[in-house]
Amino acid sequence: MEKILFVDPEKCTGCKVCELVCSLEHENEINPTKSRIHAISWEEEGIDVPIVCQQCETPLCELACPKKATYRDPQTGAMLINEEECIGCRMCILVCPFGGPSINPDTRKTIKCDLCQGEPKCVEFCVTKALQYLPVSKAVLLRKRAAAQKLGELVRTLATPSAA
Amino acid sequence: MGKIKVKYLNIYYTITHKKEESVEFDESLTLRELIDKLCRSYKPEFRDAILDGDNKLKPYAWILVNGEPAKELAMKLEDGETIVFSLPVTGG
Amino acid sequence: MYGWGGIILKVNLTEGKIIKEPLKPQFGKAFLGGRGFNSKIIYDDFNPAITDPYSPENIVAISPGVLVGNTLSASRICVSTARSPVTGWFGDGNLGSYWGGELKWAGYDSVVFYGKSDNLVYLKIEDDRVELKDATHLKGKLISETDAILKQEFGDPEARVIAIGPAGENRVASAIPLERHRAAGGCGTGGVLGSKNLKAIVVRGTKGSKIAKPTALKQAFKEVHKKLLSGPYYPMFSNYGTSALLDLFNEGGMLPTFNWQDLEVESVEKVYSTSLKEKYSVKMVACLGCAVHCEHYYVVKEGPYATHGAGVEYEATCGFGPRAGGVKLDAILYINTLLNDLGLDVVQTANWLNTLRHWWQDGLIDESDTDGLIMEWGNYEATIEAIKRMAHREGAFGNLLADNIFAFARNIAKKKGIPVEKLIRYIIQIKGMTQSSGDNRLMGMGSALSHATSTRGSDHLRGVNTDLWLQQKKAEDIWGIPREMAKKFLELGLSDPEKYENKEVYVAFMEDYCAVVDSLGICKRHTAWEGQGISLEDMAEYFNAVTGLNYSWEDLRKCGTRIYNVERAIQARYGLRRKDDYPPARFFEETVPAGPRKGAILDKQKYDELLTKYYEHKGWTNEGIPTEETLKELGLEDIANDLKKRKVIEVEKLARKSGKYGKD
Repeated sequence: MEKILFVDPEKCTGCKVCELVCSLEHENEINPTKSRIHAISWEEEGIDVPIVCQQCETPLCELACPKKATYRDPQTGAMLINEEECIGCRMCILVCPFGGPSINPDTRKTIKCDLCQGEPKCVEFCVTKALQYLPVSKAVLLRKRAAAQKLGELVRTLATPSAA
Repeated sequence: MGKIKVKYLNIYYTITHKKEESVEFDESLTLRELIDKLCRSYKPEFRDAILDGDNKLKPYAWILVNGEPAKELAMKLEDGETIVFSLPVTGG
Repeated sequence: MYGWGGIILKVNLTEGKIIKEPLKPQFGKAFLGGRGFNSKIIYDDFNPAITDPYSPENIVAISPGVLVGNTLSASRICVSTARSPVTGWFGDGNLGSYWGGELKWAGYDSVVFYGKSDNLVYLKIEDDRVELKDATHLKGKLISETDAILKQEFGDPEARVIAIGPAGENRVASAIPLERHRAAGGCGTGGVLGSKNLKAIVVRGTKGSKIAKPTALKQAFKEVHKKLLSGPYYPMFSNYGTSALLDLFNEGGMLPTFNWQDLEVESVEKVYSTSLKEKYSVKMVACLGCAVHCEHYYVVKEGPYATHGAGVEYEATCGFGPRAGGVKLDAILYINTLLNDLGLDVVQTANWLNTLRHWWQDGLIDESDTDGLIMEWGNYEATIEAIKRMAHREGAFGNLLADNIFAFARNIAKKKGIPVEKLIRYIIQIKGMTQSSGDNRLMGMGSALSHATSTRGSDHLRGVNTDLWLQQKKAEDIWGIPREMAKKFLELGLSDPEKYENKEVYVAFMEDYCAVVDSLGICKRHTAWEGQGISLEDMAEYFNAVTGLNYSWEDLRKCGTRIYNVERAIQARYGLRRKDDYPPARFFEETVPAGPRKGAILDKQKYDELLTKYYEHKGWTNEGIPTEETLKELGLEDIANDLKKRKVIEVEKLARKSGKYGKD
């Protein structure tokens, strides 16, 4: 079953470990500018949000690409970019509502998350599980389970034994 | 017969959701018996935090009996004592 | 050169000139980065005859560790100054940051400030472009305001800002620089920057860091990450932060209270980390590349102490809690945010105010000395008002306290005809730095020696944190140090915290260890210093993978020894001697009044013997000065010659000849 990269911003601490390991994995450097994922923080409010390609079902990047340089990885379902074909026009970046793709500052071409061929490094190193790589069915139940737990505790506190 | 107070510091509070509780006992209670009793009440994480694979006390699990780290799990607990699930003091 | 940015920025504020000095590879190899760089630069460039911390000739050096921006677990930058307004000696502070990464990715290893600008300025670094800019519009602004304004002006929210607050601008002695809530605590470098009219440094670096052996680094990340997560304190720090230490101290009978009188405090559980977690902590946040995320982001929603912020440590919950004789957690959080925003050090500020309370308790000062503020135990309103007045130098009281607690003591002594020594005895301090962490009578004799000999003044961060986690039966249960060292420590019987004998071996090792950690920029919380997993061998693995060099852990340790000796030589030039290497007098004279460790006290004779053994072990004279031989062995001939020229070493040689040993 195909897995998805599931992001839970409430758990993100803004540590940017994902950015460091992503750039090391793909570019052999430590350089957030070349990372495919970014943790965006509002420190004043205590909000941290990881932003990464959502590997959309209807990828706008694919629709916008004049060279048809994007293609789907049959194994992971990730949207990939053919570097040779890419002309660096940045239309994909323009149309993506998430800011998924990044620009490699050296080549000026698009770089984006390829799910590390099915073993995403960011997930491996994310200790809070703000990033998880899960089968779709599990991901769906994650938030529901967390919400249900809170409600469950409330029910337990309020529950009174029923009269005989 | 007796009653002891059990306190749960930080990580133990996370597991038990309690800051403290009273535990009553009939005839006698050793520290080992107390731990077994609590392990039955709480999630497996509780046992994992305190005991190793050989059921011995883990090196960084400090169980304070009246302020002193317990050395022997076989020690008898007395009425009115306070047991604290803690870690070795470190600074920082 | 891999790992290093390759450039040291030297900023001459008097002339408004910026020099990009190429980093000599030998310098990097010998001193690593961070604290190592700062200490050597200060030794070389500062004239020790200058005694005024606010002289334009004072220097402030800011350096991320060499691994910052290159590995995980490394975010720390060191801010050092030649003359600290708190102590009068050499001092530094260390902060976990994001700023350090940006500086390295812009291509720099250090920023050093000399001289004094005529007008308030800030330094702007954007990759290769470095310039001084007018900061008049930032005058008086809080840290959070400065951060927001500069990021806006820069036009890039990813830019990072280190700033001083109004306290630094007003040259308050305990003022410090911060990156938002991340503070370079301790030695009051904020006031020095304020005296230089340097408000902030904003940096953005997009070049990144090339790695010499990326495959080795990927492998090292995997192994070290696993180790870190399985460390014995990981669940505690990652969920509760250092505020958990208060719980451990109290239940272990070691909690300092009422300005180190250790009297009982009611309802201490109100300031336990569980209370913080339950009531006010919203989530945990982190520094760059850190999987421990030990900082709370907290919100106090309503009431007179409504606030929000991050970075509340044990030092705040204890320093403004039981040590101040109070347990109002919401007030403590309010104060923490206030200090972070005004740009003041938590430890020094807390200890100074608690000293005032102690004097008040014993009738030595009253309202006439505090501009009407009632400095009673647990009076939070008075605390908050005192902090604001000190930060702004308002009124006679605020102005005097801003000069530091010793100046305040001298003023009272003169005014009231009390011997100043009587007042100073109340202050728990070593070399002018007031104490952090735990009680020297209770944390182990190695810890007591470490605090006392720390090169920046009383400090738990410079050597042995506590002897208590050495109480393991097996060497493999002692985390973060080479197995052979752990075995040696157990063989020497160092597990007994109350034992004095042989502790010099432990202390000497940990002092070198901490110097390495501070110069690599790794967070100490990840290492053996805090009973955690990242060992010297792991650090060497990281270092070698990044730089392409081939250092063993012994090679790294030697760098630490070298750095520690540089700092010791700096202090020796100023006249620090054996008599300055003692824990506070009260710990030799007062016993712990209650609890499981009742009666504990330091033994003067045993400590004297330990200190002598420690100096011998370190290769220093009996006055604690590095010998010529020791310095040469570390490649520090230049320092040996300088000390000889200044007759610092000669004095000691003469003392040896005449048979004069020990404390006068």
